[in-house]
Amino acid sequence: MKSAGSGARQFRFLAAIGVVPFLGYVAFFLVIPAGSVMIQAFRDNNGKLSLSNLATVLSSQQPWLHSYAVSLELSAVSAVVAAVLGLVGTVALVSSSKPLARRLVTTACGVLANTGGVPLAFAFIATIGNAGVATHVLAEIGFNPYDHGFSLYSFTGLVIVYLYFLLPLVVLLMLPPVEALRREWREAAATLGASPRRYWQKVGLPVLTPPLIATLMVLFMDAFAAYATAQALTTGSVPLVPIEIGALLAGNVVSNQANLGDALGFGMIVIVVAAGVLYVLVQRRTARWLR
Amino acid sequence: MLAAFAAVTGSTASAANASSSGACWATAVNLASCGGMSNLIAAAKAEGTLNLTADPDTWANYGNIIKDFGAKYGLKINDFNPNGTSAEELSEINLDRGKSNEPDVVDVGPSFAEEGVHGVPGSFKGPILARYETAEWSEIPAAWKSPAGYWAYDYSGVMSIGYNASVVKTAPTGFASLLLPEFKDAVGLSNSPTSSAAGFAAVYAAALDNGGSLNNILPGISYFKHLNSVGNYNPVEAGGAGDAPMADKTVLATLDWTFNQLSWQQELKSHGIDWKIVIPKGQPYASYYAMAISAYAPDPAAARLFLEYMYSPTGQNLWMEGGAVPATITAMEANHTVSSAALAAVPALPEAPAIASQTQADKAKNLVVADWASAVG
Amino acid sequence: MVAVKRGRIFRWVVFGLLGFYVLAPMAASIQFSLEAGYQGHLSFIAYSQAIAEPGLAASLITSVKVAAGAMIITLVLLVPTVILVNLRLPRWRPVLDAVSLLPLGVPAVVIVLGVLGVYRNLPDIITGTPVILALVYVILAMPYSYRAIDSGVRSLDLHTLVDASRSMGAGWGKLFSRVLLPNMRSGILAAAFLTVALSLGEYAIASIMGFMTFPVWLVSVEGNNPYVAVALSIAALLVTWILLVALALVGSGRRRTTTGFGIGLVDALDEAETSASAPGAEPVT
Repeated sequence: MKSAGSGARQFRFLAAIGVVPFLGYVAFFLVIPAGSVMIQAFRDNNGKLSLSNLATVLSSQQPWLHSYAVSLELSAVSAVVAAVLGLVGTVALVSSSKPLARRLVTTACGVLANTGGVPLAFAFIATIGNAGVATHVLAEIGFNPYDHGFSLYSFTGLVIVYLYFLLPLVVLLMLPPVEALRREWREAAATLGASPRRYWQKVGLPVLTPPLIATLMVLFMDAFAAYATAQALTTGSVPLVPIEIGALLAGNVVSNQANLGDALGFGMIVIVVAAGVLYVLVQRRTARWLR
Repeated sequence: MLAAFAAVTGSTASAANASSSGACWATAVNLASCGGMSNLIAAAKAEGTLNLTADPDTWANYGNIIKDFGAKYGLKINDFNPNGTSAEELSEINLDRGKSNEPDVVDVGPSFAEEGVHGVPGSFKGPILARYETAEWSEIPAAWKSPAGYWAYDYSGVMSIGYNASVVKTAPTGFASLLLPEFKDAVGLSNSPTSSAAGFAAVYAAALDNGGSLNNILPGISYFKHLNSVGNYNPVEAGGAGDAPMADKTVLATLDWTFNQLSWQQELKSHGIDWKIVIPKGQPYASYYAMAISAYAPDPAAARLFLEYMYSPTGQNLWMEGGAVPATITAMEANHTVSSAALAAVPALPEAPAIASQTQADKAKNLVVADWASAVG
Repeated sequence: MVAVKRGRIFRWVVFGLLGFYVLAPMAASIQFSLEAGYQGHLSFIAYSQAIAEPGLAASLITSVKVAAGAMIITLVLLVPTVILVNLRLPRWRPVLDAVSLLPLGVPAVVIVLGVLGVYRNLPDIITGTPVILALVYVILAMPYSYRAIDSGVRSLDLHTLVDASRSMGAGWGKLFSRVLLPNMRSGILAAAFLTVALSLGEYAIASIMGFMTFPVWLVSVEGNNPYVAVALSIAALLVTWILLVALALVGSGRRRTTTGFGIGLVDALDEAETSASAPGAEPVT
């Protein structure tokens, strides 16, 4: 296309207008509504503008920083485990190319990626809870995991349960990039004498890295924001930020700490933005391939 | 009666009467304001609906209450967001103004009722509740109602232990029993003490049992820390999301309000589980909820009629039959208006229960919110 | 040969393990729901009780409408944006990626309070009907749907496709419908699945706003019975899955190969040939 001088600038400006609907929608239905509530983070209980809530959140005497740390850790672990297992699953799915089976699996992934909350928690309680079916079977053969320190109602348990909705998401998001790995490349690599491992090492994974990083971001934030599942499984015994926000903003006990809840929510936004900035930097570095 | 009057006079004034009395009820502060109970009933019937919110069917007999009230006066009762929280109820009053799901009546924790009166600076201006004093207003102790008439305590739960008697052979008698090895991974709460009044009450009750007081909830937190360290505490929602964990024997004992335990007992019986209820020895702990009318109620007459119904012995007995202690219990006992079904449902209390004041409760809440995760994590 | 066999073993092991992980909890739930009979005898009574409750059809229709609305708004909003960004504004790509993730940083309760508070004065046709739900669900699904569509677009050789089609005389409309969309099929479908499934399963916001959607109806009928509750949650998953499969069949159209380059180009070639007599078109040899 023509790409010289003011014609290109004009073109780019027109193109920039094209993203206005998207940005406008986000502003209208997310930024403005959320902002109108979050602004409360900067008011004290008398309604005056104040940074006292932020100070509380950041204080080392208070439990909130620790909750952020646990939330971040849980999200990171869940995201990485889901990405690895999900990528393996996607590769396996693509390598068996029956279209009907693939449709059934991808639709199932769409459903499973949206499971969560009480039904999901209970499904796992019924399976590997302290009175679960699998637990009984294991106890029969003499190894009851609960006698050896395992508990579903813990950080580890949460990771196991979170995988249930994170794995399908990985499959759905990595399917196009994995499909795009040209079979020809694999065959060419094989003719040149490369083992499958070397193929993945030198060709497959580098090509998949940018979309994988993008997927990791979604997984990380999805796990960070997960509320209902963690609430149903641990009800706050594992300190997580969304649960604490729920207790302060929409509970039955605390009625005068909504502003602190908003401050905690503001912290979550800061984390999203920080993760976003990090992501932009990482993508600029690694986006070279697949032109 | 109003309709008969209209028929006799043959005028269309009946419609005008109904609507003007409806408008009158929107600001009525008691029955006398607009001509008494029969006018109220007529106006409510003219409105035809009642909007409730956050009243689960299985909570304090609300299922039967809604059915009975609706049938008695021919009203359609809506129960929006049945699993909602007190905070959500207040939000709904503010945000659903003018919409068809604006609540008429709310049933909230007392600190939330106070918020409804005073508002939240920067968020909304109070009061968002309407003043109304039922016929039984004087029977409610002064400390249990808003002096200006915005709200009054309606019923209370008493903290109790429920346990699966089909599996647990020796009945627990109190908090200490729950520390025994047979309850490994099996003692639950309805929901976390940081977001559920029943959970919070369990911690308060544990404090009273372990050397604490209404001014000192720390021993309660220590109790649960101990319960967790011996491996008996199970953090799942044992009641807050239904009784599935009790039905599949994940949880063998819970600390919850008597009225919740009663509904689990009835429900689990049909599945072959004998769920028994025990009031722990020592001073029982109780905590009331408060009922109020929304200032923007779309059905003001129906709302007031509902309050009159619920504070009358009929309504108070319905709550009691669900296992809750009604606010006018002292007057009812004096007047012998307690039904036998109600007497059977609420176990006799060894002594008067401890009830925390707002100040005591607020101080305790802040401690629990700060310390809970580290105690049972 | 060895490679093929190793590939097959790898596949079966992966499917076996992942399949077990996915199906075991579901099987445990189903087993629990079947115990609704007295004393734990297996019984389908939980399921039959649930289906008999009134309001099922109405709530399901409401949910389907909301889901369809959310899906359409999502696709109309995101597909052109993603194509535009990848084609013309590559430096903005990471920025929009990050923006699309913002909804995950905001708790649902805050979104509801905010939307209801700020837009109270919008006409009732928007805020008083489930239309508002569809509008909010687009936001909730955005992190996933944006990523899915973007993932689909980035796997194409977008510039080459566009340049080749344009140089063969295809107009923007044809380029869009015959070349770009078919190649983005799996990404678009994934976005559609995620949005529809989210809409069909979302409870908290629908409940606070007072709409009788399918999940809200489910909660209202499960009453005190845990077996019914679990049975209904499984039935809801099945219903959602069936709807998604129907959507997939509709979206599949004619069979095509799935490599990223060739789809549509052949068609565009055909089109250009048959319209070679039109002014301005270059003859293809």
